[in-house]
Amino acid sequence: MNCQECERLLAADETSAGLDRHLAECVECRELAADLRANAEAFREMTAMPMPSVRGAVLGQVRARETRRQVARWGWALAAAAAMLMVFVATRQAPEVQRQATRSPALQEEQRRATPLAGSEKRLAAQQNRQATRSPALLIAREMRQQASPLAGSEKRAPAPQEPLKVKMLTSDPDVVIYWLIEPKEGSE
Amino acid sequence: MATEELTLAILTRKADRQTGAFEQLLAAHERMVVGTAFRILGRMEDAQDAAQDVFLRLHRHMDRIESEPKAWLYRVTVNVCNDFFRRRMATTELDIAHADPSPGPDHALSMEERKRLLMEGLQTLPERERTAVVLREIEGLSTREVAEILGVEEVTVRSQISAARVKLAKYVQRTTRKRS
Repeated sequence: MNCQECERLLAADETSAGLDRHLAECVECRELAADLRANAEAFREMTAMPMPSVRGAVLGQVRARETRRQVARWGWALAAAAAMLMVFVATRQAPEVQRQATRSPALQEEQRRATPLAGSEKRLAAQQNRQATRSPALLIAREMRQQASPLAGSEKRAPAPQEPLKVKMLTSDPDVVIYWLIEPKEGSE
Repeated sequence: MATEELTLAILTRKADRQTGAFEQLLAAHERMVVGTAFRILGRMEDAQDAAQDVFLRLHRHMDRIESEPKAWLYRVTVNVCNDFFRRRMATTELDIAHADPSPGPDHALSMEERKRLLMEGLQTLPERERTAVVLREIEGLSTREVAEILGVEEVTVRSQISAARVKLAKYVQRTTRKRS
């Protein structure tokens, strides 16, 4: 047996009579065998070494990431909901806006006198009328106010949809789907 | 209970269950991941960074881990550490401050020195040999487990470990002779 064959057997943890004979007469191979045994013992001792904990750091990062995910998820969902609501309201108000624009000034004046509004509300209504053609948001607010007040207007409103509007919003998380049900207001006819 | 509240409660419970399972896995395998990373990388600071990376990946893929988490963790630890090792500058000094204190004074000195030299020697090995010897000799996995983690045949692992043992023994001999 030569040193190369001896080295191969020692590294593979194999034994043979030929190996023992070679080790008995080769100093270098005996040293190698001793080092291999000592290294194996050192490795076993290394197994028991204490290790620092990373638990706190990992859980901190996990919680921070979860918070970011939640914020992003609900932020997008709320933004989508707000956009859908705006589209819905704007679509509902479009015919009314058109009617307001084409209504004669005399009729508008008559309607204002017939409305039993308080002084401050009258001023607000006049301001809203002035800005009606500029601000859709004020138009929406005025429409809501007119629906709430016992208006004696002679004109006929557009019929409100009877079926509730169902808006389905998908989020980036497949587990989260938001349904937005908008029911028609009772007695809005 | 309203539908929205019920859905929210179900999602919350699901998240709680996942968080609980994750914390259990973290507690059970933390030492194993940090230890393996330290043996492969040779520096505790890098090992801790790598271990955090491994557990964050575990948290991200909790739903998709179908196999044994321990094998998955070993595989990801090896991959993350090998990436770390390749990126790291060659001049980085090894961290020997975490060497284990040993019992007797005479034996302690030589064993301590040997462990230090072995940690140094591990860094000189080719990636596959280093990983195989860490998993087999220090982590105590079987040849078959190492082969599964590394995605190679058992005979390849045996050959890599044999080569690594001889290289490490010769590294220790060479370094000791040079210093004396």
